[in-house]
Amino acid sequence: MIDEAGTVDESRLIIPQLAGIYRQAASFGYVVLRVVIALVFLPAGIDKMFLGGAAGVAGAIAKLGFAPPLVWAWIVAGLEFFGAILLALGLFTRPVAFAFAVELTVIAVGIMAPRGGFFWTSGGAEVALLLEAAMIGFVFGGGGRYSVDRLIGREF
Amino acid sequence: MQKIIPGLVWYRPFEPFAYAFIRFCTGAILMVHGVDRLFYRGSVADFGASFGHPPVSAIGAFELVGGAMIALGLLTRPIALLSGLEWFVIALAVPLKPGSSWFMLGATPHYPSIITAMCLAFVLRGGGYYSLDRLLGKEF
Repeated sequence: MIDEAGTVDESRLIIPQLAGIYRQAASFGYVVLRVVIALVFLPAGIDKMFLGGAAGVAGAIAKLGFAPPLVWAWIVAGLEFFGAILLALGLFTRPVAFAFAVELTVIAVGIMAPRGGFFWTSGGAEVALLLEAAMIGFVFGGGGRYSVDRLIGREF
Repeated sequence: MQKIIPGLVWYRPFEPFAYAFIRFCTGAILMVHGVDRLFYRGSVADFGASFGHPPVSAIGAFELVGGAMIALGLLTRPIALLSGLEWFVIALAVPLKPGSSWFMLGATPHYPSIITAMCLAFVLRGGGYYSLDRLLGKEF
């Protein structure tokens, strides 16, 4: 079972008075991570899906050597739009997170690292790497306690 | 939890590590910033004028040590709170270049905001099962 909300033991707390707050809060840590990381992609997904962004990224995709570029652009658009919604809801969490992890590997290695090295201030790869680390975490952990996966009792 | 594809049950043993993995990687990425500020060309320009001008070595030392503590899960909640505040200040201070969108990845307030939110999640959850907090038996 995923490590989401262990028992909160007053005797272990340096400030035992906080135990009540921690009992309330602890189980939300993972779902906050999942929803925040998912919603990061929604604006990019909306842009590619409905505002013409897919055609815009086709050029960059062609440069990476994925053919045909427009098809891949729409795959990315669909992932970033529908995938973001699914991940935020926690439905089919693992396969969606895995797809994002693959996408982010390509973005980190193929686009961001050559453009800006590591640091975000120059448009570098750490942005994609941090998001990818979280995605791999979600592949490990699945939806967790507050997810549609858990609600329907089935998961990948 | 039933598996939709029963053959995938082999990765169930990885489940408990999910949270610790995310915490570790985030801490490690924060450490890189500390190393950069302390030993390389890293500046504190991304803070803008929000604190006046904080000494680069103090911020760098905090990022290096604090990043390691988040990665290992030592004093996770207070350190994550401080890191969250640090990156919140950065998010407020980073100028948004004309023509670039807040929502797009890159050198925009977007990335510091993501780190702030992740630190907030670490404050909520604490170190978790695989952390020095847990090992030492004392935590905030």
